[in-house]
Amino acid sequence: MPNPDISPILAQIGGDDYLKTLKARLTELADQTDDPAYASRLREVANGTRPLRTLAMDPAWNKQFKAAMSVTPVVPELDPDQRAAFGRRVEELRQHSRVPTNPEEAGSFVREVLQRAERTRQINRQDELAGWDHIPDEPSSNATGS
Amino acid sequence: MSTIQSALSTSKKLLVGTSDSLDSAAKRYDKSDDDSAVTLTDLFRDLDPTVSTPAITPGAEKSGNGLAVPSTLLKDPESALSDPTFDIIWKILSWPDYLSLSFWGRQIINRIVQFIAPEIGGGDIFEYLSQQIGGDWDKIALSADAFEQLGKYYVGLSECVSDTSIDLFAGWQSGAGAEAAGAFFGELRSAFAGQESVFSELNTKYTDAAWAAYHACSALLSALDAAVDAIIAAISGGETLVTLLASLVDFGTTLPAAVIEAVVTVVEAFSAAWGWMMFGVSGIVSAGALLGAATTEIEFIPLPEA
Repeated sequence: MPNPDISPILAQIGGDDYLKTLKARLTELADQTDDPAYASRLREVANGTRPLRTLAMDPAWNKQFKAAMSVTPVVPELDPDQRAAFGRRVEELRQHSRVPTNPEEAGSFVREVLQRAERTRQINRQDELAGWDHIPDEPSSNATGS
Repeated sequence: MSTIQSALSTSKKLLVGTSDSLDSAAKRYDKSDDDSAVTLTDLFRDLDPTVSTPAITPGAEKSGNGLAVPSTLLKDPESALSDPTFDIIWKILSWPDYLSLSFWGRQIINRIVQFIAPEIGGGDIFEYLSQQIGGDWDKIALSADAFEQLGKYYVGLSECVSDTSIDLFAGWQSGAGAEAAGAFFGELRSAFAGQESVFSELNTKYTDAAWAAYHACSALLSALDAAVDAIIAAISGGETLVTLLASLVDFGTTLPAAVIEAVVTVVEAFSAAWGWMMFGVSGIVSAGALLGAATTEIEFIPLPEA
């Protein structure tokens, strides 16, 4: 089964394990919910037939995780030692991470980013038109996954 | 821009002045029965005594382009960044909803950027980006093409002056007046031809600035796109915005390492693009504040006064 449709840079950073863990978590959420339409959407996200980004507009997902987003985070204050430790850790990540640190390489993903943004827009519009309790008979024909 | 306008204005004065001088020369010949008695050197003075420029002489080789008027070389300028895809890029910075960023997404990204790069300030990163690099970059690219065409125009103008002068001297081959006119047109040809390098450099600077802004916008957009997905994935995994940000400090004691690495490295990509953009764009762009820095580095070649 295909992996979730996420940012190409994030997929590159996280690698296969990250995608498998995310897929398993989304499937777990689908199994746990009593809302069949939401469960259907979560499985489509897990299988990459709709982008992960569509969840940001999903009322059921926002309701489920409302508490997690209800408190505006405060930027932590770091003393000089903490800031230095943070800098060292970031440098380690920069050297060993799979993230593209060259802006031109990072920018090379932009067409895919825009295409997924358009898929997200179309799918969210279909959801709004059909109603969020609508359960599709088959995966959305407009979603291509990655 | 005032320098360019001045150059164009001076060019026009030169051409008008030259036309008047030729007209006066013709009238003086018409009034005299003895060509040798006509004094013309006062009509065709040395435009630039500081340089020695080869005069145009009878029988000199013509350009062979047969250009009647140099303005036929001018076309409507086209922007290399006018593709609809580019248009979306420009709008991204003032339209973060395109990333499906809801309020909380915008908040968390603002907080993370503030944490990683506090020098940017405590405001909204999207408003800041819009102010810093938003703008009509496709119009900058359009200007670049216009500059290139102006350079071609001056080359054409130089050739027209040369070719027309050679035709003129076919029937005006001797005398002090002809020599003065030959030297005058030689300097005129050289002065116009010299403008091409100025406009070529302007074209390069403006084009480079527009592309630098485009690459920076593309990189920032891709990094933001990854950050948003990382946050959605983390929250779906049971984390909160508070633990997500707090875990940046302790590096993953509360979150899976992959999530932390993803968020931090994405922000680092953002930070790298940001630093690159500040270095690459702000350093060369600013005619008001941006392109001025670039254009002041260009040595404009003054045209002689008519």
